Amino acid sequence: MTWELSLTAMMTAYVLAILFDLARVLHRAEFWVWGSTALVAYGWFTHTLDLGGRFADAWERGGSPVSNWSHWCLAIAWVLVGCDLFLKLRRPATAWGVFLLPLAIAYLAAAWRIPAGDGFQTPRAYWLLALTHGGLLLAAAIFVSIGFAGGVMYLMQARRLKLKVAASRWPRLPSLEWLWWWNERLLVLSVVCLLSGLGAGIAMNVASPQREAQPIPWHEPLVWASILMMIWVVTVAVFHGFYPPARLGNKVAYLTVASFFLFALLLWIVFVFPGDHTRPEKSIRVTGTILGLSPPEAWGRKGGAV
Amino acid sequence: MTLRMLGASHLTCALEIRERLAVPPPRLPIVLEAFQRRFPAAEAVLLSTCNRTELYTAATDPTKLPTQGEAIEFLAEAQGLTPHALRPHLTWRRNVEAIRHLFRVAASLESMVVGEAQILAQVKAAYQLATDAAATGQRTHSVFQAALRVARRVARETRLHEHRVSIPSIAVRDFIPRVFERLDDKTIAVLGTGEMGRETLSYLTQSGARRIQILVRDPEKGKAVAKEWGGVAVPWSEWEQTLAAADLVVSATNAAETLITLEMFRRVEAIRRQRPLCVIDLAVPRDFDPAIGNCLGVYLVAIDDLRSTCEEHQARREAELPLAQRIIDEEISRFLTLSEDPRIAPTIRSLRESADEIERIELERLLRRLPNIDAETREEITQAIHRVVRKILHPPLESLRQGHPSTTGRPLNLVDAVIRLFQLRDD
Repeated sequence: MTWELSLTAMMTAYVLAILFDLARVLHRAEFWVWGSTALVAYGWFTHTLDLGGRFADAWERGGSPVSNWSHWCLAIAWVLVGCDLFLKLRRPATAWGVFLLPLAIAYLAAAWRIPAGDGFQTPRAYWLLALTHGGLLLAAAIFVSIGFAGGVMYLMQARRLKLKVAASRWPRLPSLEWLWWWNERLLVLSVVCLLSGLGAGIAMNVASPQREAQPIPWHEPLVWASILMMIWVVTVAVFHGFYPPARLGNKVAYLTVASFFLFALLLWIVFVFPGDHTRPEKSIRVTGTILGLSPPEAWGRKGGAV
Repeated sequence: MTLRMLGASHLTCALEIRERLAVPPPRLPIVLEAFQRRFPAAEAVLLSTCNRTELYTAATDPTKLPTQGEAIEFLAEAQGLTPHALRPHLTWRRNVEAIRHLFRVAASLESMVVGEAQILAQVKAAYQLATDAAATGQRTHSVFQAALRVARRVARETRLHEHRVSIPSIAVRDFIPRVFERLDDKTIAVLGTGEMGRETLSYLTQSGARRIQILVRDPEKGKAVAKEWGGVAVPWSEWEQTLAAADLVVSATNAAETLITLEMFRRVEAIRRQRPLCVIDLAVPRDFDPAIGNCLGVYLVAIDDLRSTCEEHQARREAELPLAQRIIDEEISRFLTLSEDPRIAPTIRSLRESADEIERIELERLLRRLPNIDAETREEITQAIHRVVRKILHPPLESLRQGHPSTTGRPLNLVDAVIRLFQLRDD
């Protein structure tokens, strides 16, 4: 019940913040800017308390923070909202919320739909690889999501400039140069994190049979989706590295948007066909973790699968 | 308040007349001196800008002021014109109307571009120049200082100055920032060095532009303009390389036909390798083929695309006019209250002096009793007592300045009340 309450509070705050950001087009007043910022600050505060409570709970139960998909989505949403709040305070003229908050809401909805009890399966012996795998994929998810928002903003700004739409007709967007600069870096970071994160996961899976944990079967949809994602990421890296125009303007934006859609597809496959990557918490003792933040006493426990 | 204004502005006459009436800055002291010789008991300030020439005169005795005819005659003589030719173009305002006009002028409500900030500096400079020429006195001091205060209040309390309304300023401050974050590391090509081109160059340099290339057909003229704006003059024969290297192109030539066609731009596009290019075409007819705007990575904006923003900004400024007018009305009433009751200013001065005297005596007494305190504590105590006195005095002084009416509608005799309450000497 508490979870539903805090989720409703967060979602309401974020939806209202988006509406406030959009209201600036119709009525120019500082009220909308500060109203939107206050709503996001309130939502983020609730979000922080909720996430903190979950982490503390997981810790007390011998588990770890971000130990299941629900926590994972909540953490991404939390970072996205934090970015929105930071940017709102730094550049209040831009309606960041219109682009970042819908993504945060989508992650919150995903967190709500996914059963909280499903924990990640991680062999205790490979906690460092698990940390690398989970941490990098979490970072990649954040970079890809922010990159997507940046890419959409870039394409929208470029379109408005091509159509000669007056700056006042829509909430202000950052300059193309600024967006391009960020998108380019986010693309590189997301490629690096995705490649390294997926690589760490594959390495862990290959090594698992030799130790105490069961590997994830290679025929699982998650594995194939991950391989597809890796092929895409390698293609992006090659394209980016060897074709200079791919490092400029619209192409970077297209790449960031495409990366996000493929990533969303990967997540959808993971959520719909969870397979052996996640198992019901009852049968699993969470020791090794996605962020490697499990309590020291848990490290000594027996029970390979987490 | 005896104030007169004789003048002409963009609202009353054409540019040709304004040009003939305009007094260049070096001649202003000479004209003011001639005025003083002719009307020794009158004070004068002469405001002359590209959009207006206005002579403000004031005196204690209205009979000592030049009449309308005398003022027209004086201005005509000063500019080598005939009064008869000048008369239909000049406006004559007296007392409250003259004050209202000056306040509106200083607050930029009478400007061609309403809300432009330059006029305040021009009014200030005209007043300063007249003061330096010993042409001002108590009346002109009070009315011009009030006008400057009103202008600052209008600027502070309204959004009249917020929206840019010139095409080059909108291009540089509204359009370019949507493409580029900064200009100091961008290569800027400028085509055309006419009025529009120069104005755009001034905004570009103010916005941090450093690498400016000026494409010119006349090398001598190009060098002079390049020197003025810290750029490099490039002969027109090198247009292809210049456009290929540019991040931003500003074009404002007087060419009778399209300067850069799509076919010409295709040659540049091949070298650019899809690098984004922002093109501001301020020429009429346009210098760049509009089809160039469809090329990949090219953001082309022409003068008409910016005009709608310009009109939008103008409309927003006009929406602020009622508020600005209300401030001016308030300030006029306040100014008249102060100037109509000659006892207000001396009473305020007397009250301040009395308070300062009490503060000084009490502070000396206190500090004598505390000989061992350090300099820092001494200063803290002095400042604290000073602040207390100022804060206590502030409400009565403000009430005196504003001349609050009573609830019965009759003006309160605040001056008498303050004199009796604070036992001031009624000189």
